[in-house]
Amino acid sequence: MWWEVAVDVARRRFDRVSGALFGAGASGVQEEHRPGEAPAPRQPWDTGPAPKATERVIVKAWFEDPDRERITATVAALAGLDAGPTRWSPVPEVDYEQSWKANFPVLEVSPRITVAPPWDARPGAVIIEPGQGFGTGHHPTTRMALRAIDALARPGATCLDVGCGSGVLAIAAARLGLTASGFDVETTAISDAIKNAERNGVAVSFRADTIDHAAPADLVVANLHAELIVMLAADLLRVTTADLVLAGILADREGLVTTALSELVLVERYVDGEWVGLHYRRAS
Amino acid sequence: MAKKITGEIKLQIPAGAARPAPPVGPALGQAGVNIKAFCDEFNTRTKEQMKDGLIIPVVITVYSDRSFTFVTKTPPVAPLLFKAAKIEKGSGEPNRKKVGQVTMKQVEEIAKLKLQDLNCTTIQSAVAQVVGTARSSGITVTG
Repeated sequence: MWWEVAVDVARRRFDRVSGALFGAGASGVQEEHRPGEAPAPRQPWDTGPAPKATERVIVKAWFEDPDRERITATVAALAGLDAGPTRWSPVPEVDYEQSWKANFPVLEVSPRITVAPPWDARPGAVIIEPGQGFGTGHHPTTRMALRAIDALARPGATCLDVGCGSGVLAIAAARLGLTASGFDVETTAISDAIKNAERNGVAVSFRADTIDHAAPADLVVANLHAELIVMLAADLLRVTTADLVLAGILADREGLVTTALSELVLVERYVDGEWVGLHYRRAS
Repeated sequence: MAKKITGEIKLQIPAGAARPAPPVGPALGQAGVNIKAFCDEFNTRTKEQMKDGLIIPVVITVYSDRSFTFVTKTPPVAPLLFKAAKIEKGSGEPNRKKVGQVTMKQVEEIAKLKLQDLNCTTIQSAVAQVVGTARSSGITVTG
């Protein structure tokens, strides 16, 4: 049977306690914040200094059939006089190989686009394995962009997915008859995107690259945060020959984007919770 | 992508030994991410360090659509010192009971390896941190 042990220690003692727990047979260790001390996650668009590390942390470790008394004594000897009590709790039996899959149900996004995971694949669906590329379909910004692609796709046109993540947008465009390509600066995402294209049996060119080398396309999609859109604005204008679909803009930063792209015509605005999407068209 | 971060998970896992069981199971299961994909990628990235039995700290960033990325760090100082001193663990009473010794050359090698992760800008300050860990583990530094 698996047991979890948790102890509240001074951060400077973490490595020593962790080392002792491994010495006692732990399968692994986790560093956690104390309840109520976890800072808000630092977002890619956040500027300013990172929050200061807290003084104390919770060390958690997991053991299979442990000698709890002996381990408690070892931890007490190393954790220091100011350590909190060593708390043991049994770990419920869970099929960890399968249980996470429940978080990725099939999504009917638009009249022609359904996103499904590989274990629940169905004819015509865009198959995406959730992994290291953003774009599992389970975020409003991805769905916003997918709905726009469905509405704007003209077979034979070209589509460029800027910062493609999992490749879901370009793959959906390819499924609708567009010649699609995508790039991302993150190589792990690109490797996932290539595998996703293979799963879907579509020819989409994915590469690890920046926008500098991107060729113009009829439909450009970019699910990026506002600050990044502004940074790439000149290149987005360069590669857009007809339609530009943006998603991933936090509502309070929309003005940054509309100012940067004022030479295009704003055709439609999509809203989903705190997120805004914008469809621009180049004036003919 | 408009990647909003929902959480960060900090684990230490033996190189090449991530599997869908504790700690990876409960830690990543709670965040709802693809546990198998993490295990496969972690084990591939740390395969080389497996033969040395090293513990690898890993920071997993989870995004709002349950996709994730992760970075591996250099092994913690204490087990590197134990390995250099050929001992299993540190002393419970480091001031009174010494359990092993390492040379200054070994300390410098560990400091060089750790320099990228320790909060140090010079090799001297990294060496000082490693010496401090040795002292608090009951390991004498010679030479």
